[in-house]
Amino acid sequence: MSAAAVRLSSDGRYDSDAIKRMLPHRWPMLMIDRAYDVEPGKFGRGIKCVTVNEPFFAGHYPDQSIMPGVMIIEAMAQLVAVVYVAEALQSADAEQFGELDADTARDPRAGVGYLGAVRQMKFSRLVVPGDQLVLEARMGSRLGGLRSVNVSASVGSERAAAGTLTVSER
Amino acid sequence: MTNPTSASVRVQAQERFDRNLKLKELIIDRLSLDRTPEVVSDNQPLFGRGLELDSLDTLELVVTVNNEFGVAITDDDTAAFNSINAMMDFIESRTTV
Repeated sequence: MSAAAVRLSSDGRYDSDAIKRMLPHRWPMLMIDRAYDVEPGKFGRGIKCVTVNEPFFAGHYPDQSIMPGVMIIEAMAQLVAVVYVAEALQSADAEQFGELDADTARDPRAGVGYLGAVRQMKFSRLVVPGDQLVLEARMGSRLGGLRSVNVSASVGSERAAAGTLTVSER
Repeated sequence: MTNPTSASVRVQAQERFDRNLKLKELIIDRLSLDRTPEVVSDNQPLFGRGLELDSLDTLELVVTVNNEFGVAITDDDTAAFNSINAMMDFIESRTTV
């Protein structure tokens, strides 16, 4: 097993090192710190800890730090990508390959797709430094390479954002 | 002059017209299309030169039909996207007992 290989988690948890092997995103655009309760291809929860050192706070805004809504959507989309890649890992397990490897053509990061549409996204609370965003993604209808996903982000018991994303397979 | 048979046919036709109109209103509302239900014909294609929907709209349509009618459209059922009539035929074929 090479250092870059990632396996399907038996308890549905992925730490940030595992996530870096699942997603092609890197600083400053890796927007998810941890994933848990991941049911491959169906559902997942994730955490994004928001610190004052986030690069976007330098300009959004200089005198009042507010996490841009589009960055919350990006964090949601990255959780969706983790749920997707977990599904690919599960199929790999089923085929008894056992793991996907960044050094081979079976790099899971190569399968991460694109954001196709953002529908009815509602932002109901400001997200500021010190907040811990708890993300949730539930996969919905699928047609061709497209999939509809219901997503939400909360801080504590307060809903920060919720809506529907359409994502595409690569 | 009206015999019972033609009257019942007329009722059926009116019911179908109403259902198609409701489906058109639903599609226009969910996809935020810039047109009225009256100008959408029952047989015009939903894609290309018809309603000009794209693949992202198709998925939204799948979600809408699932939510509103409890009918799932899969990759094997793409003929349902040929027209309003085709879509309504598909929905009715999956909902009538």
